Amino acid sequence: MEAVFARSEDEVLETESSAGAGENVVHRFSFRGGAAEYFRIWAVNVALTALTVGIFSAWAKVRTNRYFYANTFLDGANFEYHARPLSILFARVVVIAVVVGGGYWAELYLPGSFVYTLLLLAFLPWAQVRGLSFNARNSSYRNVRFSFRRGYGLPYLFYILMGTGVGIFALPWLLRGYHSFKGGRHKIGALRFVFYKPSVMPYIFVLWLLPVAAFSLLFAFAHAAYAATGGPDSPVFFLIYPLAAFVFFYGQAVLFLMFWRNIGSENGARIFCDFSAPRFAVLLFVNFFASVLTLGFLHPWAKVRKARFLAERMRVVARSGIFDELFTRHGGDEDAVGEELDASEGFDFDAGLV
Amino acid sequence: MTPDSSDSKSDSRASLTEGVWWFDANCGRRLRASLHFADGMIRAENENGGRRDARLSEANISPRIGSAPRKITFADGVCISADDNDFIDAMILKHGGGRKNFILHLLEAKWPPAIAVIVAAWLFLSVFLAWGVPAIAEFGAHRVPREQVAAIGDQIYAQLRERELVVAAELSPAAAARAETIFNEVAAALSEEGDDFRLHLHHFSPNAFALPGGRIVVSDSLVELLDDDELAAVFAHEIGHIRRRHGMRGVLLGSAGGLIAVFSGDVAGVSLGAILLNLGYSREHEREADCFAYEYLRRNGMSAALIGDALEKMERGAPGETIAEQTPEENSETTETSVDAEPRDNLENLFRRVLIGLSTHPATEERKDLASACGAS
Repeated sequence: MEAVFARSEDEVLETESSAGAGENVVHRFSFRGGAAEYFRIWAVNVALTALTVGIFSAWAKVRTNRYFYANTFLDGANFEYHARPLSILFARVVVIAVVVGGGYWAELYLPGSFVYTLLLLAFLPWAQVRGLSFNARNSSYRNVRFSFRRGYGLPYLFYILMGTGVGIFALPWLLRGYHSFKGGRHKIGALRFVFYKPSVMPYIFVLWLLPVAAFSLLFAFAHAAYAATGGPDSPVFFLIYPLAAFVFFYGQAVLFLMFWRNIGSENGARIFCDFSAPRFAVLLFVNFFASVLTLGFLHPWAKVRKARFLAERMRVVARSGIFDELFTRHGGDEDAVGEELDASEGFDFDAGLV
Repeated sequence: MTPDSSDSKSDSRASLTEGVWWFDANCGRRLRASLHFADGMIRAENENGGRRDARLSEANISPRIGSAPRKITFADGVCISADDNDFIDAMILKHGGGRKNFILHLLEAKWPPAIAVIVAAWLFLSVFLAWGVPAIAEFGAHRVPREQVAAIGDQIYAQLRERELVVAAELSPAAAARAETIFNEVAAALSEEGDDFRLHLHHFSPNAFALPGGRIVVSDSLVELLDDDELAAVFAHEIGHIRRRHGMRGVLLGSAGGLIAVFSGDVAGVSLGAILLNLGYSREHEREADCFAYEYLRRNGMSAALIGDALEKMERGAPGETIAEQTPEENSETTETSVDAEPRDNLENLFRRVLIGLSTHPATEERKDLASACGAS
């Protein structure tokens, strides 16, 4: 399975070094944040969000992202997050107005009509793309900003197909298409990222075969347990939740690897993830249950643990000195329109995907 | 603190030379650098002799966040990264850059203030959730125009019928007439101006629920199961839901939960909290409806035990009746101010209860003693 995910490292090293000048070296990530420190930051965020009835959440979001970006180092230099809280607050108000306000409005005045569905179909893909570009624009490494070349064809296709239910028959191709859309449209400065389109088989596995197999097995298990224990009161049923959750996180982990293992840059840099999908799934699984079972109190620990896990096991292979060659993009004002609006903030669309 | 102490002892000059990096405005090149503070000014110098100056009060210094490196950005885009937060904070204080760059840091730098903030927020939230939110929901629910409340109820009822979640009752005309008579009696006694209570009999397991606006849906099996007085008590309970506008309050509380979830993307477990909270409000609504019914029973010289008796019968179920069907309650939890007995154990419901360990309704045992619960006023 793993071999399908990406070209092997040797292969990349060989082809890239023969093609480009300079020698490929490993550039390591590291994460310097700590659980105790972040716990206090998180606690202040949560407390102020509660005391301000949610208003502070926009500042909390920025502070959280700043903490995690600024503590993530690549080759000794850290990332930075620059978004302004007011932009995020404004975006959240817009999202709530459209999604909640629109819902009530449609319910009261046009009950049973498709107006609200159409409104969401028009709004959500747009918001998601704006969100991607907002996040890119507000992220930097070595004082060079990322950017995202916006496009709407694929997101609208995705939402329309999924909204009508047809999409389920093309889901593996759609999601691979989305990975390619997302990966291939990012830039840092003037440097383009590249998504090396992988085989669709892992997507088929994780989006079709895995859910069907898991559902059948859990269903059979539930019935067997029901029959064996003679009723629904047996603690055996507790097992169903963790099992289903683990399958879900395993799928997440595979998709994470499918995205990151196939990302590179147009000048030959590649990203490597030195961990397996099951290993990452275990981490996500433990994190989730630790957070939920402690009513959120272990959430900071889980978040730091995940950041550290990824930083320690991901690396960039590229020519030495490649980061000195990053140049800021000039003359690109395609992002100027609606600069302030990151409508996706309300949803954190990508939290689950990558 | 790692100030370059050679020239910072007595006068107002100080320098930072370790862990300082210079990034050009237009490329990713990184140079070693040093920072110098003097008389309200900040100066950055790089290893190639490049130099930038700015007034400290105008310099763009990123707010402190934990021990992550600080960024100082000059007007032309040159950016300095520096590790020594304490030193920079000291310089800002000394040379006048304003506390805003680290005010929150004072709260989160050490455990005691951080814990104090959590405790304060926890107290505030407890008070707000226990009294503030229900009060706001009640206030809002009573300000939704009557016609809109009725329209919502009509729509839900239409959907229940359309999706065949409630189907035609299987009752003899005599039994249906008996239910109608009792209902009309209770409704007449409890009606105020503008009320429009209507009874709908349908076929499902012994249960009853009220929809916003005045529709009360009762199962045929419940009519067969309960005697006249018990049926009257159940009707009074459902009318209590409508009078107190629990349906609308549920809708408002549900959307409040949604807003909290939107705003707290950072807080795992918040959805669990929202579920627990809504269950709590739901139980509170049941108690209110019970007390409303209790008032009715007391005024009419009927036994306060009737509600409890009805609940017990519902829990036991009708003899010979299958109870495998789904109660409509489970399908749209937010809108219907449902019922009386806890939905019966099917596999699905069981999962929910195993996981959450809580329910929408107070325990029947607790609900039997209405006189003490509602205060025999």
